[in-house]
Amino acid sequence: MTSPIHDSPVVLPEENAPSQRNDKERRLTISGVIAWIVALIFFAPIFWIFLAALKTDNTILAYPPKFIFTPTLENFAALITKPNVGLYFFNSVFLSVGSVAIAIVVSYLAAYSFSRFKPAGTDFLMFLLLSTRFVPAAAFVIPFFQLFGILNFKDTYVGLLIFYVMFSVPFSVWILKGFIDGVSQRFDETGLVNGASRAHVIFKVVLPQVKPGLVAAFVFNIIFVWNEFLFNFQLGGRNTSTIPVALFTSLYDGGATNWPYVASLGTAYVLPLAILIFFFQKYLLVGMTFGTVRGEV
Amino acid sequence: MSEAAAPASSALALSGVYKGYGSTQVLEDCTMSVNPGDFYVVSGAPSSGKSVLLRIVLGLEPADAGSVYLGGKDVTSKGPQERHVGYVPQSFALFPNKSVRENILYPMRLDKVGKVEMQETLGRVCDLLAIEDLLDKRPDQLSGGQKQRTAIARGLAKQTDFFVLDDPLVGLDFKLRERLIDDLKATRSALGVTFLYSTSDSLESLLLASRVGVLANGGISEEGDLDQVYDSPQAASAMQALGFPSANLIDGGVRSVGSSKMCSTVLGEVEVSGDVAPGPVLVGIRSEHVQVGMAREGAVARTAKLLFTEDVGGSEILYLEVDGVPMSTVLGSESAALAAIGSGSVDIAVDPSSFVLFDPVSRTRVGQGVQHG
Repeated sequence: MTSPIHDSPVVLPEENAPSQRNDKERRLTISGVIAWIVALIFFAPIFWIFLAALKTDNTILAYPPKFIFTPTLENFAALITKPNVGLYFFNSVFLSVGSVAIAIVVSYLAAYSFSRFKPAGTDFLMFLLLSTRFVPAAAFVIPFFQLFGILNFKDTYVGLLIFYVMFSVPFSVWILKGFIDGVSQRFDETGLVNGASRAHVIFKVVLPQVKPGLVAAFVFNIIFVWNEFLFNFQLGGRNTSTIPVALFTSLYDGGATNWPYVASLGTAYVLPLAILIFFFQKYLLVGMTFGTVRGEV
Repeated sequence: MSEAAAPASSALALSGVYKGYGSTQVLEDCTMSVNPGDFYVVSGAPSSGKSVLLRIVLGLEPADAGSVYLGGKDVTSKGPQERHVGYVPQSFALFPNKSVRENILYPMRLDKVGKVEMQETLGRVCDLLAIEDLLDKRPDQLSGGQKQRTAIARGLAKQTDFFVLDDPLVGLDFKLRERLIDDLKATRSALGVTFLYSTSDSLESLLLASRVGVLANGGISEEGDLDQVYDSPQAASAMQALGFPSANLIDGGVRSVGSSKMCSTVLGEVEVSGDVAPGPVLVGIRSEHVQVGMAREGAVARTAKLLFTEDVGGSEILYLEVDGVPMSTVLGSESAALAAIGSGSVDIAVDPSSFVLFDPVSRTRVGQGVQHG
């Protein structure tokens, strides 16, 4: 038999008192329950969409709502036979992944330059970059609409890619500069003195050390572009519509809202991003704080 | 200041190098020369420009004016990649995503060294620095000393015969530094290569250097073999930079008495020789030349106020005051004189031959004390 001293966990004296410990546990339980209730309220609309996607047309709007029903995948079967649904998915994936990938490369190089070469007016340039985020997006719609008209960019992949790259770059530069600043210049110099080219230093020496920053910038911008509606609606068209625009434009079918279509497309739209966020949620904090809070990433 | 040797015969030569940042001039007409096989230590106070000097040698910073020669070739306008210099940076800068082995192989991978030679070099530097058993670890699994050894090993793995070490032992604890100092000396002589090493620690300079250059006021105020610079310093800055504890610099005044010259200080008056004009001078006296206890024949003696003592392991530094002038001396911890010291005051004595006179403006050597008897 082992000694009771070794068995008992180390506890602080004040936590020893049973009544105090119970108080603390009770408070934790109550706050936990409240947190769950709030989370479920926020989750309710998404849950409704998920359920609706598995219901038949006439049970979707049944009142009171049916929680016990025979799930069916016929809405999804109908979805894939719809014209253009494949195109919407392709557009969403292609525009978000493509533009963000380009933006990350551009931003990484820009952030490296700002961090290492400190061109004259770096602080002001960094401020200018961020200033694009000060103005509500809607304020840009008209000028961009005209610009895209002049350049014949409307409803083209090139046009929308350029637009989304432009929108993703400032944020990414901010996040990545914070990370690159955190990598000592002695690393660069060790590389250069040993005969490395600048490209080697940028991609082989510094890049492996800022991977969390790259992932954070990638995830954050993917969320933005994936959810972007306004500009895709205004600057895109038949060929380049993404799912958010498709959800809006094909909401009505034969004079009424086509709920099975909306629910199944909505579910298929939310799932990939939800999975992405689930796996990379710690990087979201990095993104929201411009890389100033890095936590465990 | 000595002129740069003919570049062809030197491992490194700097000639009239200037470097400034904005309104701050860091290097002014800096000239130095390192011979092949030297363990050349650039010694200078913190922020005297040692790192800048090294960075100019490495090609990481351009000089505003002047020339840099490596192995007799003018490399002033060459980038760091073209200079083929081994480098141990001040912070370890070990790549966190690479193992110790890959860190050490890094310079050779960049130089596309053959596999056999690579393994040979790896074995040799690991052997020298005793880090064979660390090879598969990541830098974050190493202690400070192990990181430093790895950084030195990586620097030495470069296939070259000229290495720059930027204050690599700064911040390490005393014991570890002592061991690494021995390692560094052994390593340099085993490889038969040239080291350019910077430090602000005078003890490190004294223990490591074969040749030393003292950096002060933007230039090398004095360079030469360690013994020569130590024994007969030509610049006040060199006398102060080399010595542990730092040499005493006190004010003095020279007057002519008949055909001889006398220099008076708070310690007393001694006869001096050299090209010294009557007027104020700076008098340098090494701490270890300030004797404690009975004065020898011919020495000047005073009673000094003992401010405090400091145990530096093996020896004891005494901080003194003579008529308001701070001085220091050093005694072995086992010394009988130390045991005899009470509190409050200490009898001290200095041989006239220990007096080194510097011009108070140019701070260059103008004379020395004359020993009688």
